[in-house]
Amino acid sequence: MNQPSFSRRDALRIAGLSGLAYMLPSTATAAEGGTLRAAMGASGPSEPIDPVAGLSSQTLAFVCFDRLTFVGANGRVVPELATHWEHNADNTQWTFHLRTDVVFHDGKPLTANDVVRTYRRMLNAKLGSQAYRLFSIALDADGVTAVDPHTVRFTCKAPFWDLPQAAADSHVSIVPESAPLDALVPKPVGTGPFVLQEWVPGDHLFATKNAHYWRAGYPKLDAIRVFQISDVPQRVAGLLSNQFDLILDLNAVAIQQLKGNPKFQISSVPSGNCININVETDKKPFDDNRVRQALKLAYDRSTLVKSVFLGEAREGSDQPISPVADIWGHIPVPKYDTARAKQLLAEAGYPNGIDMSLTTSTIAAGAVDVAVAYQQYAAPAGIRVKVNQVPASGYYYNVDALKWNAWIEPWNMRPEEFLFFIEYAPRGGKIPPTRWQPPQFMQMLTAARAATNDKDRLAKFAALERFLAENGPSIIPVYVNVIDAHSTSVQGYQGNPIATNREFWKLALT
Amino acid sequence: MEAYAPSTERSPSETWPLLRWLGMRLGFSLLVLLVLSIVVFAATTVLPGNVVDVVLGQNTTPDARAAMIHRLHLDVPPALRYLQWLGGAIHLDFGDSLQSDQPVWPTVAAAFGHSLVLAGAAGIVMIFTSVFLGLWSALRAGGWLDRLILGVTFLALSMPEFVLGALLIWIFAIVLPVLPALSLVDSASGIGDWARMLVLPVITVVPVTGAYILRTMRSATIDVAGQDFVQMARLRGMPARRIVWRHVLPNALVPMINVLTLNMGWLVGGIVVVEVLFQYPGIGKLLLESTETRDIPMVQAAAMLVGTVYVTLNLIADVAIALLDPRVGKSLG
Repeated sequence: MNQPSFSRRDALRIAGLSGLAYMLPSTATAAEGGTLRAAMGASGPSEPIDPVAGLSSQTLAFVCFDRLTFVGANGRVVPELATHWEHNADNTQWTFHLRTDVVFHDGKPLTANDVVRTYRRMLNAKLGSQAYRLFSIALDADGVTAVDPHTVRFTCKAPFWDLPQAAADSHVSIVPESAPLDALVPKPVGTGPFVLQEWVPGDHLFATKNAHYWRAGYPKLDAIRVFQISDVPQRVAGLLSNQFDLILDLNAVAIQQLKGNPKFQISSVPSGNCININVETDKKPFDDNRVRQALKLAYDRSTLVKSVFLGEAREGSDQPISPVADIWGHIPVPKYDTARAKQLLAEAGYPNGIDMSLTTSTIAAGAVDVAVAYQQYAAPAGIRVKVNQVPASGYYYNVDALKWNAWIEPWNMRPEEFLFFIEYAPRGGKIPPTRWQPPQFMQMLTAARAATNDKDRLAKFAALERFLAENGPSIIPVYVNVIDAHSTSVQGYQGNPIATNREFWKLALT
Repeated sequence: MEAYAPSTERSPSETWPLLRWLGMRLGFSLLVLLVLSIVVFAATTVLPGNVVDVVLGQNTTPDARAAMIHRLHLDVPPALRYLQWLGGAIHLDFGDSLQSDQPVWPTVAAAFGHSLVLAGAAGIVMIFTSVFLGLWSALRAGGWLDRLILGVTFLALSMPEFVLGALLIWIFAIVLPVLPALSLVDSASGIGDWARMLVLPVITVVPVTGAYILRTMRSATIDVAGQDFVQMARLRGMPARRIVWRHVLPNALVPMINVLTLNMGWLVGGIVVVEVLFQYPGIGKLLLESTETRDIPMVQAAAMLVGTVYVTLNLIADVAIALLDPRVGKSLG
């Protein structure tokens, strides 16, 4: 019935060629085999097969591809296709050394030219990659060159201290040199642990073991099948009725059914995922920083974490860098103080408090709750919140179109913390929707990025985070955990604060 | 002397006007499809939210936006765009998905195939239970069994299918895990998998439509059974079984054809809620999801297909009635 867009014949051809071209001795290990059935939300089988495109970090990028580096569960950058790297004193030149034992699914060995092509495609504005904005401030396409077949040089036009973290982004998953510069690849040929066999967009994908994967002894699974199930309770129902082995991107409420059940294991990892209340700072009353500070004081963060997120979250400090990030500046969480909030409002000229409409939607777990809870918490401070819930589709489009003065905006953690700061900077030539653009912000950011030693950099980022917390347009009351669950037959699973960083190659079924 | 049962035979002088009517009816259906195509096209054009921004996301580049605008032919006036689309649609080329860059038609056709299977399974169960229960109930009109059946159907009609579905999932997939919670059929599924995964969706869908068909069948049967020619047959000593099977049932079915075909149409294209509840990869679920992601070519193809199904079923119903009921056939001449 299904007509796969990528047929079995193609897959067989690739598998056959890779078998002929390269024979690796394999180390037999225990617990091999089986097909893992995983279920996740929309950022899975909906995404295109070319990692450079796609809206968020893509599952396929971790199933069929690898990148130069990986950001592990502890936030540290580790080598992947690159073995080691060096940089110059001011972080404007990086040299990455590649593994010599890697082949693509079609048998072609990995060389520096493949890496160069990958980065040049991502830096091609025509392809419109989501990572373009991140890299293009510091790197141009011709700045990526091959020094020799296993060495790549990045010559940056501005200091790029976190290039190793940025290189872990799914959009720069390494594709072959033959990938077109101006168009998307027709087939997902990568170096990754699995080879795509079947893909029904928006429904599921099926991939089988790459027998010549460079990580010796891996993957342990024979195959992996990833289903797209947008509704969280349905994912849980599927796990309970043994249709799935692993379910991803859950929320605190959904896992209550699984707690205490010996057949399942829950992974709840603190993360930098946050849920913001953003306000437009060129509209009254949000143009006055005293009002913004009052809004921040009027949020009862500890109750929110306890009652809405059931403890599976951490209190936020009004800026997007959480305690799990390398550059966290130990910014204190503001206390819930409605008296002081009221005072600040009076000082700003609103002795009778303010009325505000807060727009939200079901775009992420907790997005509606954060708004509705605020209505309760802020009332004693004279802040009268009216919650305006709108449909999820087209939500971000409306945010960018400045439809609302105050809205909920969830952000996902990325490997490069810098991406958070980008949210407050001009976006493709457009001013961000909060309209908050104090010159000090970009100055402090540029200085922090240019710092050449870790201590100096940390201090500068801490100052920036403090500035954002005290003056910024965002009330960030919570950093939400990344919650996944699996049956006890799944071995090797580790949750990652960057939810989309999946180590499918590690998993095994007993 | 024969009983006054209306004959289903047709004289040659009635055939030609019938064929002409058929031709006109077919032409009318094609016109409806054309109007449908205009409506579908116009509706997808006015969906809120700029398609380009929704699909490409917040962080895209101006170059990519321009490329997408050109690719979607948004730089072409709507009327011309419609004609280009229609030209492709006639060849079943509805363009490529904005999500996956793959041709839309194979995905839509596959989803439609799945919907046909579900509709077929539900349809068979529904027809056999509802039609015969309706008949049976009518023949015992006023009795305790009839009242019981009426009561149960009333309950079934009042309960939304997603409530029934959720309840069934809870009981049979979670509390006593004997059936799967989600009906994730795919190319790897064998006959056994299909059967297991269809049980709950079919049980969910059958009561709602089935109750309505049962009651309609019951009314139709009561009507026919009360007519003179049936009385006559009974007075002439014809066995009851023969009366029911050869005279009551066929005549009661004629008014049922419209009801049945409309319900079949709903089963194929309208049970979005049930498909989403069970994650069954049918065309209703596809239509819903592609509307949310603003995958315009997919929405257009799916909507046209569902609309075509309804138009076709309506046509079949009208033709069936015309052929089976010579009273209708005579009035066409």
